[in-house]
Amino acid sequence: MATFGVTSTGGYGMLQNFSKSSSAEIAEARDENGLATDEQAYSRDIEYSSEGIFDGDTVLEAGAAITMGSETVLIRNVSENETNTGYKRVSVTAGVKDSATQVALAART
Amino acid sequence: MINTVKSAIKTSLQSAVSGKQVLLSHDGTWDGGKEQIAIEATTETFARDQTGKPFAFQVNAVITSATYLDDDENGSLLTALHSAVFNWVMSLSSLTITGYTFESVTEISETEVEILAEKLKAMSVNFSFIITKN
Repeated sequence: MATFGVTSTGGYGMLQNFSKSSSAEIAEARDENGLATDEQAYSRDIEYSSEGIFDGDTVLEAGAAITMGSETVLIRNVSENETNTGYKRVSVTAGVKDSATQVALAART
Repeated sequence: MINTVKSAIKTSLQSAVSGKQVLLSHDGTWDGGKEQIAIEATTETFARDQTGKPFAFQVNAVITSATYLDDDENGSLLTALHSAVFNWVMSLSSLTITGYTFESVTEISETEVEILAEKLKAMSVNFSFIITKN
């Protein structure tokens, strides 16, 4: 069944888009002709990103922990964008590699 | 909602052109002989919430000023009327629209003098503004 709208939660404000992507690091072996003969995945990275129309939320900075989708991950990048023809928007990218223990940066004082 | 918006425009504009007749459309009373002003407006979605439902709209308004050709041969009446409307748009920073918040005027343009119905001369100010649902 098709899914309409942004159904995931996470990030800030009135979500306009949300995405989850995963990538893997893969080692490979090649023969004398340069053709790959073996591939071995050894690490996986899950990354979430969202963009929302700012609605007054307190926006954390990069390095803080945030819940995106169904898991708590570290913010890799957050940007607040204002324009003279529209609403302020907040974009955030966060993720986790493998099953790494995540330790957030302390908030700036 | 569009009728509420047009009424808000009329109320605000009327105070800037006191003594002139401001109409909500080119209805049967539109004849230009009394230095009339007509308001037309359409709306379109400007922003949506998480579910895709619109919560902000762009209002595209056209305010046409008209005078009767025989009464305004040199166009001075039309020029004055149009200028008053343009200046009102330029200074527009709030409108009272029930259920919505006026954000800002985002576009303004004007038209040249045109002849309507062979007896009127008219000029228009086209402008757009954003409103957000409360």
